Amino acid sequence: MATAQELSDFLTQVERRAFKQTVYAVRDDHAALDIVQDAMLKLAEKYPDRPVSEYPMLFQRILQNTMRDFWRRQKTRNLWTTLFSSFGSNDDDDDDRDPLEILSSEDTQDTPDTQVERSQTIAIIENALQALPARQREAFVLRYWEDMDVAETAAAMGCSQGSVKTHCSRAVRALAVILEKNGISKEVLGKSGVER
Amino acid sequence: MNEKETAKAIVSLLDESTSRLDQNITARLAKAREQAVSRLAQKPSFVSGKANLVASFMDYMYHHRAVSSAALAFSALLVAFVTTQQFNHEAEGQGDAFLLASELPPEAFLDTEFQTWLEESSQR
Repeated sequence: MATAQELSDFLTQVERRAFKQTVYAVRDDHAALDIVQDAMLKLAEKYPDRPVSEYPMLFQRILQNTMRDFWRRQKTRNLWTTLFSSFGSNDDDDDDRDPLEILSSEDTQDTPDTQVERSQTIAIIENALQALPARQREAFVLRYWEDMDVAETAAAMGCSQGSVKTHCSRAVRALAVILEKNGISKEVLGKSGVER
Repeated sequence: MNEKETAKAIVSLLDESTSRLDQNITARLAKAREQAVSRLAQKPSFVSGKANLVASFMDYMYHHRAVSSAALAFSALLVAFVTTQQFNHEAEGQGDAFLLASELPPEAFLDTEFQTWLEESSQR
């Protein structure tokens, strides 16, 4: 059973990453903060008897489910809004969007010649992550950012290990293409990553 | 650079981005964390086995509410069907007994003249 101090230490360790991950998914700081707060409370209330070693996995699972709940509510709300406002618009599912199209239209205002600077690189990566299909982003974040293995990622996402590998591979490829398009080659990226 | 190296490089930059969060956001995260920790502290350290079992059952029911609702509805239908069948069966049995018993009114057995008539008719 985890103590209050252990829970506090764990949350301190993950809260910023959790917030960022949620922002990439919901694209709204306030909603992301609410979701992270909900996930924290659920972890404390529902799993007080679990050892602290299980917390990373549990927290990620709760966070992903809370995000899905948010999307479900949004979808219902959007449906009613769309019905009342206009009958002509036809929103496609998140997975059907082409991240490259979105990003290229957004980034035409930028000048890519000076984008080697770290802050700009980070901004581009964040935009690229937001533009990824939800499942690919989720797999990438859990597998590489949260450093979970394939089995853990599959368990957290509720899919097979093969799907996780496919999602991760596609996500990295899509991100690399987007970064290349923005003038950030793999060499520059490697250098930026190693410099830390 | 292979897939894993590209991913690691991206992740290290993402890690850096978490250190540049706005102060308002970090403050709200800290507040949320404190709230979660206080909730943990409020939880009783010892929960009896029975209470724990009930809590687990309720938790399971909540998380599987679609299946639970279907199972509950099915069980209710089954109970209603079985009860109806039982009642009908009992009613049928009672009906037969009533018919058999009601062949002669109770007053007939109390009437002494009837007994005489019965004896005479049996001797014939």
